[in-house]
Amino acid sequence: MIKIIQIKGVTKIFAGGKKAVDNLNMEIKKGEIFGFLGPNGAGKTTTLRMITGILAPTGGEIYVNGYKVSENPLEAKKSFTYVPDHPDIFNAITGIDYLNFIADIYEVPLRERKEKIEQYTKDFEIYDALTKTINSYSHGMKQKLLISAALLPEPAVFILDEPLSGLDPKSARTLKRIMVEHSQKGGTVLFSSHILEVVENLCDRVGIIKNGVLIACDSLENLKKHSAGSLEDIFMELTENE
Amino acid sequence: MNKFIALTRIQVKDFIGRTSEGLGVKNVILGRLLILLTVALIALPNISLSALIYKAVESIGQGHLLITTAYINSILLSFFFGIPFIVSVFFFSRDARFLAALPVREDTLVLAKMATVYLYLVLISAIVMAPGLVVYLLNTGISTYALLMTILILLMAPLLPMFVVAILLLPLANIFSSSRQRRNLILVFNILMLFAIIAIQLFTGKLMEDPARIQEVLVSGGLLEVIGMRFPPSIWVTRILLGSYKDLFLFLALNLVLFLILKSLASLFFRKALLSYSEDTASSRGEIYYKERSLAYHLLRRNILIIVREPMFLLNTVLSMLAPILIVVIMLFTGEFSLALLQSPQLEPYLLLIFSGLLISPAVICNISATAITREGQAFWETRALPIRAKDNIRYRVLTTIIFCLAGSFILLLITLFILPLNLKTVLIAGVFCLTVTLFLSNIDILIDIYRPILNWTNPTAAVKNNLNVTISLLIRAVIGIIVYLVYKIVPGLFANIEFLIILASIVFLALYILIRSYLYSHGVKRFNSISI
Repeated sequence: MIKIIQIKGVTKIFAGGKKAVDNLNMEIKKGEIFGFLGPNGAGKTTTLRMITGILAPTGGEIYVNGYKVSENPLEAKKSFTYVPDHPDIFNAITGIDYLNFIADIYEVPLRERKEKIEQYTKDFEIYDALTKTINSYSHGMKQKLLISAALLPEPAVFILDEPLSGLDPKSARTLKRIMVEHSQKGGTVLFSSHILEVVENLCDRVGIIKNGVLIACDSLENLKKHSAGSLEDIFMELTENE
Repeated sequence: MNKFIALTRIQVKDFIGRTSEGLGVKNVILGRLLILLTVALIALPNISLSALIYKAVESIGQGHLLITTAYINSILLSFFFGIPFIVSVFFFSRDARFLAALPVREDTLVLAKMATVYLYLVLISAIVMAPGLVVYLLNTGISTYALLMTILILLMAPLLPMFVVAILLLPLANIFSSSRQRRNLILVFNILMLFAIIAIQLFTGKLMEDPARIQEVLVSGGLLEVIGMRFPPSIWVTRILLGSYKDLFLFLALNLVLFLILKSLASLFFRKALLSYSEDTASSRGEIYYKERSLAYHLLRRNILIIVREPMFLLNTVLSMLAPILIVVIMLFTGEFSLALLQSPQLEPYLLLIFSGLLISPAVICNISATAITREGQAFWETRALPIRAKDNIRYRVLTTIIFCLAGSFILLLITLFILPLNLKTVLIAGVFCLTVTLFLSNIDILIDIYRPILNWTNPTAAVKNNLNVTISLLIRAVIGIIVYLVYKIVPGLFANIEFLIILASIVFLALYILIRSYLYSHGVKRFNSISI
């Protein structure tokens, strides 16, 4: 199977000496839904930020769709879209301004853009708010706008950091459906979450990180072979025993 | 701990934290030293000015007028500085929702917030007033009473303007109800504030130069009485230092009455100001549209809107662009300067120099490139995660600065055309000079921000005002000024032919621009790519 994301010996040490990620090696295959788990401060967001080029690794290499992020950032970035954990976006523009901006950056044709904007924003029930400035949106609405925007280019990899936080149950369900559909069409989904039940139901494979170190990375079936019970039991066992 | 003290402490700590955070200095002690240094740099010239004023008023036997002048200046500045500050603290309060949920009385909340305003104003009034009071004490002798009263006056000076501004702003709360109105009003108030600062400087400068004018007023009953009739607290403060307990009582009583009025209006203030921020509803703008646009359009629009939609950024930009016009207008009002002077034939050989200086002033003062990345704050992740080349990212930020600076220069050009007798050749030479200077400065400024971006700011003031990048950028301009002065000293003949000088300077700036640009798009790009958020 094609490896769409390859993380090779990646380390991140922040100014002040804190090692957030320590020699991380991980591969994510094309078409899979990959769940990234870990306690608070484990290094999930730092890893996702390094994959997306927002943070530069202190050591190691990251490849997205065959492109080395540090050498070919533009090509690598064309292969994915990213939804951060905090929807801090430039909020003095309207929602529709933002969606058109993202569509232009990823070169989404006009006809396709109209169709998708209507589809996703209606699914997430923010269509009527699109002419309002983003600073009037609630946290959840901003999150839905970011997800809608990230879906527009139909990216090879859809990267989401805690995507379900702030979403109402209906929107969370819509997002889960979209993630599955994206994977069925051959796209890859990489997301971090604290909601183990969602990860258990959606993911093909799971990576568990603790103190910047990857302590497990496998399919749920294989993980369950080592420990009886639910993903929650496995997670608790791994993160407490390490 | 008492709820009021706890709230005040947290508000004041937050204020100090935000101020030093904006300097972009990680070392706390260094950050505080920098604040002290800035204060000292403003206060020092004021000490020499106070000494000169004392000399002037003492020559007519009215040395105590120094206190009156210092107090009035402090009141005016506190008043004009207080308006935007109170508006931002109460009408743009981001912690309003959090505070509103606390089990604390409304008046306690309002007064705790007011403590931040007080801290800010006490600093301003101390910078303005302390030099005057110190000079007065040194000249008249220091006694325990005088020292105690000086401290009391310094501590109480900002209270009066602060209470008055707060009470005056309350009826305006309805106007502030929409965020757009708030932005506009902040802009207007800040322009007024700038007017006040320049006018005060000019007023005191004139007073110092011309004691005979004071003498004229004295003939009609004494200057103190004249000023006092318009603003009695200034008399009270002066007489307090001269030993009057009656005036001390009046001064304390007035402050107490205003405090009680504010306290009684606190709940109204809380609902009309603090909570109105949370209730601001957004209106729809236009219709849903689907349009393909270029990357250049999107990035330019984004960078321009970041400035235009944030009042502090807009204010900073507009004031820098238009500062020369404001100074000229104020000088015209105060009679310091007349348009007829510019028509004088003696000035003709220097017209090109004056005109060129005017045209480049927006580029020299408006160093918005030095905060072009910083202004984006936490939203910077977008430009990092999206497939946009770093070169484009930098290019359109620089272009935004150039657009703003050249717009300022163009406005100045239009105004100057009515004032100065200019011909086409002069306009063209100065125009090319302005373009090369603008290109050079906007490129060098963004390099500063690429090397020192501050993305984790919590309030916009920290991003553009209390930012060391701005100081570094001004330092570069000062160095250029010193180099020009040295060239003038070493090769005075070069300045004999102004036209040749401006053309030569244009070529030098063009060469410098090309050098800086090539560095920016090689090393600068690498550095830009390594900015982490």
